[in-house]
Amino acid sequence: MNKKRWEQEYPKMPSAFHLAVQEAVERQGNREKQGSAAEQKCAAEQESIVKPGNRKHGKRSRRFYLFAAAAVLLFGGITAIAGVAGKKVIFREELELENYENLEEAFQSDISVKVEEDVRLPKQAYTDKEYREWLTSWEKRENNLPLLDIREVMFDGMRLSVYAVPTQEGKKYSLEVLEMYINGVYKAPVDCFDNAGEQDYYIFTLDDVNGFTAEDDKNLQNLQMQTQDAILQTPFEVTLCVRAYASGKRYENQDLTFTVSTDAQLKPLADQEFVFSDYTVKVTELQRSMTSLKGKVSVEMTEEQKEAYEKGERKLCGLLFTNKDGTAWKRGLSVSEEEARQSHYNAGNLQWYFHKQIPEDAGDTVMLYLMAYEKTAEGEKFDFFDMGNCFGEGMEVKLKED
Amino acid sequence: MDKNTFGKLVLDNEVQLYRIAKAILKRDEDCADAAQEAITRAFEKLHTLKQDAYAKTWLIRILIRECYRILEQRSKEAAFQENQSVQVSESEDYGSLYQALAALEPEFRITLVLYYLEGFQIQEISAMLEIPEGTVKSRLHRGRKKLKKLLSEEERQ
Repeated sequence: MNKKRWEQEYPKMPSAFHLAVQEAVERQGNREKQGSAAEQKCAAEQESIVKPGNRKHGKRSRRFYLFAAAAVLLFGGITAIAGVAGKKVIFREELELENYENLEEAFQSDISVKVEEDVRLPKQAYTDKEYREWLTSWEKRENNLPLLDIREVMFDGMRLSVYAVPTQEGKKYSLEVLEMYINGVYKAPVDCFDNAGEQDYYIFTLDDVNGFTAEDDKNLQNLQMQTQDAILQTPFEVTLCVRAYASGKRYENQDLTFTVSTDAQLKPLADQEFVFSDYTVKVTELQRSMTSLKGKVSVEMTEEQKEAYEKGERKLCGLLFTNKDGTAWKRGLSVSEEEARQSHYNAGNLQWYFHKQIPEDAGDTVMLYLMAYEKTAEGEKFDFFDMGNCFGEGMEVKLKED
Repeated sequence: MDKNTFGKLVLDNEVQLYRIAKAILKRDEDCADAAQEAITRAFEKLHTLKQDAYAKTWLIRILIRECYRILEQRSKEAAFQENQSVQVSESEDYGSLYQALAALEPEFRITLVLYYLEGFQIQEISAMLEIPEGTVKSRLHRGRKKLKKLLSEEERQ
């Protein structure tokens, strides 16, 4: 994509816009001078003007049930079976799990899907009312035939990914899944991946690092990681909220619900501590599944150590995991590639939660490094996989109990 | 951050605010309305901004929400005039790239503009649009592909 062309062809800011911005800023300056009483009144008026009105949520409509067997009937024959087998390979390749051994118990392909129309999203309207409000004016789809065929699910006790292909009906739309519900109550963000925009298949991965929320009557509550683990005990029900777009329009959502019932287990690991002369590192809440590792890293300092750290040029900003030979663990939870170069931020409280895929060649331990940037580099890009940015010594974290 | 500093930040970034609003809204008047509302709201909520470093991202997020709110209003109005909500007026003299961009869904338009025109990173766009990073990447990929197709169709005509 040519940046120069974007700059040349994108509309230029008209002077009226400049005046509008200038006026809005100046108005604030004047309000400051006029005092708080007038300001509050005006703010209340503004609020009443822009506050979205109460809306009635979308109606529930007919439900019907589909079974995976029906998919076989639809596609029929040996060719279809070969096709499904091929897709299984693709699913494992995209998850980068094709070289892992003994993973079969984490995969499930006998999936019954329940199709519902427009049930979940009205509930979400209050997650962020201003932003989501516009989503309620969708076009009605012609019918409620399933948009996706859920072919396979991978759940290893921690990581949940869903492999789906668009149905004939689904191919009429651009599809997207941004959230899923667990047991109809807990909402989790979803990493949505499709194969190079061809819509041949999709992989939806539960993004538990960004946190589950739970709904009560009016509010959403963020859940702790430990609580999330307790929710993901098989069997559990998953609802994918499928969004549909076509020809510049947004269409009604479709909810696809199915049960995950793999035998995979999550294994807790003991807390580990590394004491250095300038700080202490604690690795806690460690848990591993067949493919992933997650936990919390905290850097603790005495008052004296903290004072010395704050005077220093290097500031901690993240974590790096490697095999003992130095090969970095680059893959996080998402199917999409991780961006190695990021704008760094100052992790003020020196605590990080992590969730990494364990490479197939990982040993019984992993090397953990703290990463730090130079004070002068703040605001610039930072390479989290560059060993030159490591802070202090590496720590050998055990991945198996003694 | 104090109000004077924030006011300066708004003025320094007005071009960017316009281009982002224009990625979602068709009419310049709507872009100006969205910017004014967003600026007013941001000033009112300035005390809730925890870190000054995120002020710009925060303002853009408020602007995007405001644009979507106006888009919602316009969509209802346009229900009586088919397709008006997504097409650029023929009377306006825009380049082929923006014409093609305007044919995409707003989700793709805003993601492409934030990434290619404004140069934000995936992580920053994810925070602004309040969607996972994987979704930003997926939208970029699909949006780019759609845009390319629209542009090549136009060049053939």
